[in-house]
Amino acid sequence: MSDRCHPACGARSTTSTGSRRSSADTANAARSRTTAWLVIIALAGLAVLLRLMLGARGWSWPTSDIVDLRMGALVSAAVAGASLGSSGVLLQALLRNPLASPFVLGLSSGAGLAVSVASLAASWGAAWLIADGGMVAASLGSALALILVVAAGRRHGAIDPVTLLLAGVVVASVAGALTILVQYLMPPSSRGDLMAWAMGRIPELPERVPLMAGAMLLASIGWWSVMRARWLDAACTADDEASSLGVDLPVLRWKLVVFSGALAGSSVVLCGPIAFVGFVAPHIARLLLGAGHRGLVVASPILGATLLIAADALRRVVPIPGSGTLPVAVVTAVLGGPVFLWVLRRHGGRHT
Amino acid sequence: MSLILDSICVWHGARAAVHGVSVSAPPGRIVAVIGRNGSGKSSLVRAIAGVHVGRSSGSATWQGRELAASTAAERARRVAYVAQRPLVAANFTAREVIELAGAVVPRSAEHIERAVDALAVHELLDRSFAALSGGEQQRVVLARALAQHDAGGLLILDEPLSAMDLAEQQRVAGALQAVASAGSLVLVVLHDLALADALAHSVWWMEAGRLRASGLREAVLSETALLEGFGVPFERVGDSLRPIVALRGAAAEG
Repeated sequence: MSDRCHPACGARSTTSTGSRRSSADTANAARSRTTAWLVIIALAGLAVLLRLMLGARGWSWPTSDIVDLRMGALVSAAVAGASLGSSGVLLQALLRNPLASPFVLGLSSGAGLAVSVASLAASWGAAWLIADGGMVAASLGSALALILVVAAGRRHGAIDPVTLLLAGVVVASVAGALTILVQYLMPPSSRGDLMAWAMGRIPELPERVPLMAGAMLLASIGWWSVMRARWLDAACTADDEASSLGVDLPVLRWKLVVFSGALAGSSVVLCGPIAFVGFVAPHIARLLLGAGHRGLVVASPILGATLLIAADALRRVVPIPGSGTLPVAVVTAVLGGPVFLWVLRRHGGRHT
Repeated sequence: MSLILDSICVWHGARAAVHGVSVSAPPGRIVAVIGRNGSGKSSLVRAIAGVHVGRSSGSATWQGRELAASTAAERARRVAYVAQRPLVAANFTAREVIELAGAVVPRSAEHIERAVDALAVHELLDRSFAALSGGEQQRVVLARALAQHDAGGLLILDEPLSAMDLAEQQRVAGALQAVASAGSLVLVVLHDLALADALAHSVWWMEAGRLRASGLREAVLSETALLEGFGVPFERVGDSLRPIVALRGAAAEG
C-alpha cells in the first residue's frame, strides 16, 4: 500500500555539493567561535589588569601589597557581576524574552524598599538595623519580593512566563513608590546613605560570609546551567514542542525562577542594585557566540564579571567635583551601553 | 504492539474538546486525523503526544505501555511530535533547530544526518531558522522530529504540510511513507482531504469531539459521507479524491 501514493515516494537523493558546502561553513563557524572565546578571555584579563593598576592616585604597576588591597573589591565585583550575567541568561531563557533582566523580577526594588525602611528605623534610633551596610535588609527585601512575584506569577500551579513578568513589573512599581514615600518621611541627613546604596557600591573590604555564600551559589548554579544548557535550548521552542523533546517544563521553570532570583539577590546584597550588567552580558555573549546555551551559560557570567570589574576600575579615572568618584552603576550603563551597541552593529546581521 | 486509545477525554478549562475516543492503529501505517475546525483533532493528538496541559482522562497505550505513565524524557524516546505552530524564540540556525532532537534524549549524528537526507534540507542548514519560508520551516521542524524518532516509534504531526508548496508536500509525503514502511506509526492531522486520501492508509474522522468514523481510507472517505460531513461534494477520479469547488456559483447564488 505504501507505494500507491505520490510519485516522490522513496526519492531520497542527497546533494553532495550541499554537504560539502555545509561542512566548510561549519569549519568557519568553529573558527569564529574560537575567536570569540579568545576575545572574551582577553577582555576579562584586561579588565582585571585595569582594576589592579588603577587606584585613587592614578596608574601604577601593582605591587603585592596593592594587589592585596584591591583584591577584595576585585573578587566582590567578579562574584556580583558573574551572578548578574548568569541570572540574566537564565531569566531570558525562562521568559523567552531578550528584554528581560534580573531586575524585572522586582528584586532590586524589594531590596531597595527594605533598605529604606531599615534606614528610616535607624534614623529613629535603631542604628543596628543598617550597621552592616544594609545587607540583611537587602537579603530579606529581595527574598520577599521574589516570593511575592513567584506566588503571583503562577497559573494552575505552574510558572507562567507572561504572568510572572507582569507580576514582577507590578511588584517593582509598588515597591518603588513605597521607597519614595519612606525617603520622604526620612530626615534629609540620612537620605545620602540611601542614595549611595541605590547607586551601587563595590565593597573594598567585603564581608566574608555573603561573599563566600555568593561564590558558592554562583558555582553551584553555574555548574547546573552547564549541565542543563541543552534543556535551555529546547525550552526556546513552544511549550508543547519543548515538552515533546523531553524537557520537564514545569520543573525547569521553577528551577530557573529560583536560581536566577537567588543569583540576582546575592549580587544586590553584595553590591546594591546594578541594573545594566544582567541585561547586557547575555546579549554580548549571544552576539559573539550565537544563540546556543552551551556557550551562553559560560560566557554570560564571564562577561558580567568583566563589565563590573572594568566599570569599577574606570570610575576612578573620572573625577567628580566634591564627592569623589562616579557611582559604579552609572559606569556600567555608560560603559556597557556603547559596547553593546558596537557589538550589535558589528555582528547584528548574523545573530540578531 | 499497536497504539490503543481507550475513552480519551480532553478538557480546555470547563469545555470538553474530546469525549471518549476509543480507537487503535497498528505500526507500519500512516493514519490521517481529519475533521472540521474545532472538531478536536489537535486536542486528541496533543493528548496522545503527552503535551496537553490541563485535564484529560482515558488511556493511550503504545507498544503495551501507557504513555501518560512515563516521564517527559522517557516519552521523548518513544514519541516524536510536531506542533501546529512551531516556535523558535532564539536565533538558531536550521541545523541548531534539528539538533534540538538530541537536547534531552541523546541522538547520534547518524540520526540527524538521516533526517536531513530524508527531508532534503541540506541547503537550509546554515541559514537562520527565522529567515526561512513557512514551508522550509515546516520541513526543518519535521526533520527535527524525524531525528528524534527511532524506527518502530510513534510520530505525531499536527498539520505538518500546511505551508508547503506541492513539490515540498510530495517529498515529505515520500519521507513519511518511508518512515511508516520501516515499521513506525505516523499519526498526522490534515485539513486537506485530498492529501489525506493520497497519503494515509487509514483515517480517523473527528466530529464535535467524538470519533465519527475510523477505518481504511477508501471506506471512510466515501463521496456520500464527505458531502454529509463537510458539506462539500467530492469526486473520486481514478485513485484520487478531489473536492468539487464551486465558489463562483456560490457567490452568484448568494
